[in-house]
Amino acid sequence: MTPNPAGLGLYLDGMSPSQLLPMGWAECGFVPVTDRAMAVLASGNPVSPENSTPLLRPPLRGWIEWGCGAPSADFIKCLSLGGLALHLSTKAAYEMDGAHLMVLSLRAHYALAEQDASRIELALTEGVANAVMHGNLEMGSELRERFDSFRQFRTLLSERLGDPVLAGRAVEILARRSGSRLTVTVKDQGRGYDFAAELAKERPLTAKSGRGLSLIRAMSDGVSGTDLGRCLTMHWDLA
Amino acid sequence: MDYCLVETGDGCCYKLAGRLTFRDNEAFGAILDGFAAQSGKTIVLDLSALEYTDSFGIGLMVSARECADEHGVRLKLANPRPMVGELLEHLGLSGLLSESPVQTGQAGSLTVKGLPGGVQVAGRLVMSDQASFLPVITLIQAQNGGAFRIDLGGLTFMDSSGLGLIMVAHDEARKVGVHLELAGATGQVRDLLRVSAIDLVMPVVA
Repeated sequence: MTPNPAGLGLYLDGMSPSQLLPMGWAECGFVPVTDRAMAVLASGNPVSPENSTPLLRPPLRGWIEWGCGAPSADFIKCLSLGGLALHLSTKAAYEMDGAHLMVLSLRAHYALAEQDASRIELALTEGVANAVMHGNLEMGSELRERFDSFRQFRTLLSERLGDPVLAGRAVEILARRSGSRLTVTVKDQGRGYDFAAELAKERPLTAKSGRGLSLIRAMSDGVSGTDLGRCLTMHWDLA
Repeated sequence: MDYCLVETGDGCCYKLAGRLTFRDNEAFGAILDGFAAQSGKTIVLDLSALEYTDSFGIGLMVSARECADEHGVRLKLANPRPMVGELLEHLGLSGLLSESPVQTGQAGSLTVKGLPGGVQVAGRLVMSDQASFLPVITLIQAQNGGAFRIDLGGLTFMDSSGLGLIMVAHDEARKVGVHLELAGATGQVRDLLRVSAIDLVMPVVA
């Protein structure tokens, strides 16, 4: 997919009107903000120059990076229900710390207590790290277990971030507040895994990896995995 | 003097900042301790943020050159400000400098500052900042017994990948008989250490 100065056309080409329009696309404004991304606005307000990164300050509510496929139906639904949504390449999610950007975006749109924000950030960071590393980049954790193999891990990571297929897979981070409940979903395009079995695993205190899901469970008020683990949904009942 | 460590493709870079004087003998010694582990690789001393040095500081740079030769390290002193460059030239030591500017890259959001008996880390320790932490483990490996403290006081956020690196550092410390302890964690970092029961693995002090 190549950048389209007109903004929306290529995505419309790849998606049926029945999928798009009833979900509220027509109510959003679209602004191509760079040659790699398109902003989704709640209204027709112009995007200011500082909106050149996917930090969703009002009125910005969505961000679609070019070149990593069309946004999912869940992405569209999230926006149409008033949520915040990022559609990023794996490389961008890794390099720009997509989880941190979403937490900053949440704080820009919703009043979050400091303690809530801290729990959300850790759980979301773990969720995005899983989506990027284990999901889309298909990286195992074995090489992170020892220092003498850590450089191999770094080399492999660098290679995979340079692989246009793996690094071009999309990561979506979708967030919506309804009353006091905040729901955040992280979606990847990897091979998936047995979410329930992974969540049930006990890890030794000295483990170098594999703590992510248990931390997500500890830091959220509920977590579930669907689509073979490629869709992780967390929620918080906010103060 | 402050410094932060950045892993490069072929070794590491120490970005020196502030004033390098006789007061920094111990901190600079900690840098030299890490040379042995970089044998065959390149170490860059990036002087671009070094505001001031004196003849003692220049002497430390000469020591660095000797230490590098001893351990088979390719040493580059690079990017001096005019004051430091002129002092080196005045002392007839401009040959210590790389002939052209050296691109050392940007430090990530994690910075590491050497302290007597350990390091202080600041910023965010997450998946994309792992490389910035690796030189800390190299420093630990270069210790010969004793204690090594990682001061987490400036760390604003850490995830499980950061925790994993600390566990790797703990393993490496044990191999060389170093007593590793964590100190000064606050906020989310303190909460993460607590929920992960890290104090059952290594000392965690306020």
